Amino acid sequence: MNEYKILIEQLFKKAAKNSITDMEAYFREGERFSVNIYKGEIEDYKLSNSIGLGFRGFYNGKIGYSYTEKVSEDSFDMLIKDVKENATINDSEDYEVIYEGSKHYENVKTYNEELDKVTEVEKIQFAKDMEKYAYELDKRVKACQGCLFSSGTSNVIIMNNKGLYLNEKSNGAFSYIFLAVGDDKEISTGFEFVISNDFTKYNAKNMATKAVNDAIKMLGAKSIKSGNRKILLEARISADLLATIQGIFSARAVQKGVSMLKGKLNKQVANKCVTLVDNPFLENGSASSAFDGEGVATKYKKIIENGILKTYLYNLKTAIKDGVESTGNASRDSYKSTIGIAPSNLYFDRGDKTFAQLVEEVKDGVYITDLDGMHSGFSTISGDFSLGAKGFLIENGKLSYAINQITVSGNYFELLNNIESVGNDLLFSSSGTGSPSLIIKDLAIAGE
Amino acid sequence: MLDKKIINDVLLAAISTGGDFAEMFIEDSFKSNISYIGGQVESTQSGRDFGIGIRIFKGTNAIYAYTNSFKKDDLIKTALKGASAISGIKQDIAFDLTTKKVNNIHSYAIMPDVVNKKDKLDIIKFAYDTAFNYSELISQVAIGLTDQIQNIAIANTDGLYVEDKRVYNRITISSVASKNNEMQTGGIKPGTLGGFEFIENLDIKSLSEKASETAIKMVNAGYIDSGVYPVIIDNGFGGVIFHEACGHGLEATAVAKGTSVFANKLGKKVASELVTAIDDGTMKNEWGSTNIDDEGSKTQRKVLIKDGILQGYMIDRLNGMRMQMESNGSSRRQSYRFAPTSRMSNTYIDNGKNTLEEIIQATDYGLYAKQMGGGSVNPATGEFNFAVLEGYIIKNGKIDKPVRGATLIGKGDEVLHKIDMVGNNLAMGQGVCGAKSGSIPANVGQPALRVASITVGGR
Repeated sequence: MNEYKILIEQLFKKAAKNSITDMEAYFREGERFSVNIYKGEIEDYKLSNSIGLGFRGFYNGKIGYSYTEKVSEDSFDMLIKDVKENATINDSEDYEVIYEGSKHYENVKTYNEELDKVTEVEKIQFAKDMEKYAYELDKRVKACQGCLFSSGTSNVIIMNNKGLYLNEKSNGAFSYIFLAVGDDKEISTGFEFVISNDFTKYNAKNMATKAVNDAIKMLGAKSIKSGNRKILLEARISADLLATIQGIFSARAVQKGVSMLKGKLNKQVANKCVTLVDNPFLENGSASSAFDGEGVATKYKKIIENGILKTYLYNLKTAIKDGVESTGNASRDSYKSTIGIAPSNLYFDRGDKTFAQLVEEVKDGVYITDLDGMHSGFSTISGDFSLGAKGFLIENGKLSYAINQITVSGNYFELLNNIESVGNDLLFSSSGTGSPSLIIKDLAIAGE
Repeated sequence: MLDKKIINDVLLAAISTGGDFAEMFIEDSFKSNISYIGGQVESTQSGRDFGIGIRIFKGTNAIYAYTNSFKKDDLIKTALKGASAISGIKQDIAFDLTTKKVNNIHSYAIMPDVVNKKDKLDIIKFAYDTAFNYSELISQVAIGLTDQIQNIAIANTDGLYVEDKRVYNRITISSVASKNNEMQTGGIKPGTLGGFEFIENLDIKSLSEKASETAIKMVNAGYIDSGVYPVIIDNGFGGVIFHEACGHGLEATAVAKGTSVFANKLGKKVASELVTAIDDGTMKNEWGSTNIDDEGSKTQRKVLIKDGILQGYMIDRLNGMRMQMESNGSSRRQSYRFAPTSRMSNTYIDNGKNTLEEIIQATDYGLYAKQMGGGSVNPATGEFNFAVLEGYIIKNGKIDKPVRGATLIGKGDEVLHKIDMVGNNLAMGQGVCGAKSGSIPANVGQPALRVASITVGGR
């Protein structure tokens, strides 16, 4: 890392000579491995080591951004030229800052050395086992379209010419199995994943079993009559909906007038049973970190508490505009990104009802286990959604037959107010957000 | 972009453990974007993506490794590390890298990186002002202007060495209309594989007005009742129905494993006889075109379905081996970070004989989907969903009131048979298609057409 620290210092020196005043470098170095198994053999085997440098700085009082993946001295001129050019057309009146640092940073465990001791052979074997179990479990398993294990380690440096130097090493892994079951007449699919930097959390048999069972249960699924129904929303599906619409909590969206939560601070925006948490210190959380994309110390916060909207999510620029403190939610997906706003580990707090109690409470309705088309059939501005869905009928407080070829429609802001019960089964989706199973008063179903 | 001697040595290292084919993809891209919201520059960013991907085959098993390093030692190390996943003996493969000249059929009159950013900003501001001032109901407008110059070189152990340059320009205009504490959006996103002259020649005024008009129509619209109706899908981006519902199932990625509903159906009737569908990577300056694919093969015009009969698939080298079929220049990837695979380029349903007016007149009651949003599909089951951005009820052969929030769902292979009228107003729409090998520019297209019955999710 030291070699790059020196390189960045040289860049700062050259940039200062070129009239760039406050400036910051965001450097990331990473290694990744992934393997995909198909019919017992390695179908895809992927390795990478990557580096990239993001550079932003003030020129004539305005900020400009640039980045390069060719991290060497011969990119300096391009970085400096781009920053100056981009700053020149920046007419924003909002004030972005290069941050001198927080007083205290929480000690957050983002690196698990045990994971880096797991060999490639063990990871490949894990994926092979998962596929083998899937085929053994049921003759109707036709093909595993995806059977993957992936892991990676990265190192991030945020460094500026106001004395800030932050460094975070982290690692993580994920695995999924995606398979098709069926016969000549009918096919259905099942999917299961795990995200964790703890290798002991990966169980090949459990993952295969879940994917196979989910797929088998959907065989023979049929459509149902259109109409409004009471809904039990599966935990991870609810989490995916939340991930899609999480931008509404961004102070930027509120300030730009594109969040329906504008003017709703300290008002009821959800049913009393709803509490929404942003927790950057969550153990094994995929977005856990001691500092955000601007180097500001992160914080635990309740965004919605018992249905009341308590805060928006802020970075420095939006906080200055509203005269508040940053909530430590500046986002920076990579060295290529400009500063935005994003939650860390965002989740609905768990309630106290078991899944069985929720099914009983619904009595007659629909249990939704899958929603398709969230990137297109869900307007994150209006909150309107109309999505392809799968699930099960609930009759007399019991799960009944499987349902497909239906759509579920509604409005997310109304949905928040219509949450009647919250389960105790908090789960995180592949998008990193979490939710327990939820009962929704009603949503419109289109079927036959 | 990289010394041929180094490339030669890296390829040799890649096959040193028994691999029977190796390929290098070298990319040096320059990207720039300006994002403008609420009358101010929201962000301006530019940068350089540089990296090298190395792919090794042993039979139909594939290894992919990439690095940002351009140093010989690092590249050899990366190739050897990838090669170590194969345990075999070096085969007798000899090659001599010979430069193949690419015949560039696209015109790039003005490179986006020589255009002054202030001139770009002027275009953005004009679009913003036009869209925002269109009506008092417009509460917010966002404009994005992005460009990319992608320089690539591809070399492989067949002795191929080829270089190409791809230039992309795109503007996005999104309007938000607000009324009675509700918001609706409208947007338009034209793009090209071509020079900045594309942006300069656009009628920004009418495009901006159209984005705002959609938002206003939708904020004033009611909801459609859920149910099963005939649906008329208009031209241009309406082609997303074919892209999602059928196109993905015609990619060799899905066909090779036998999981696509279109596997083993060549020569069979898979659609209404009114349907002829084409994937054409050679259309001049179109968003989804390229001179060569990302394996270095010349792109082609491929008839996928002719009068309802399945004619062919989109095939890449690796899946071609699995299917015992030749690649047809359909292998694409987002960047050096992705191994390429079969993907669509400019995919469209060809013109039929009816006018849009005739199709509407022939419909008693149904939905007219004037503008489509995006969608997705499960390639194993063919189940798709997609959103209607701007819709209208059709009553007694006439366009009636506007409706919003509709989603269309169905199964790709079934919906193809249900197309019972095809119009004559073929047009293209620009999209970004996300799949295994990343997000790539792709055109969808069709004339207006009618699906006899489809499940519509409303409220």
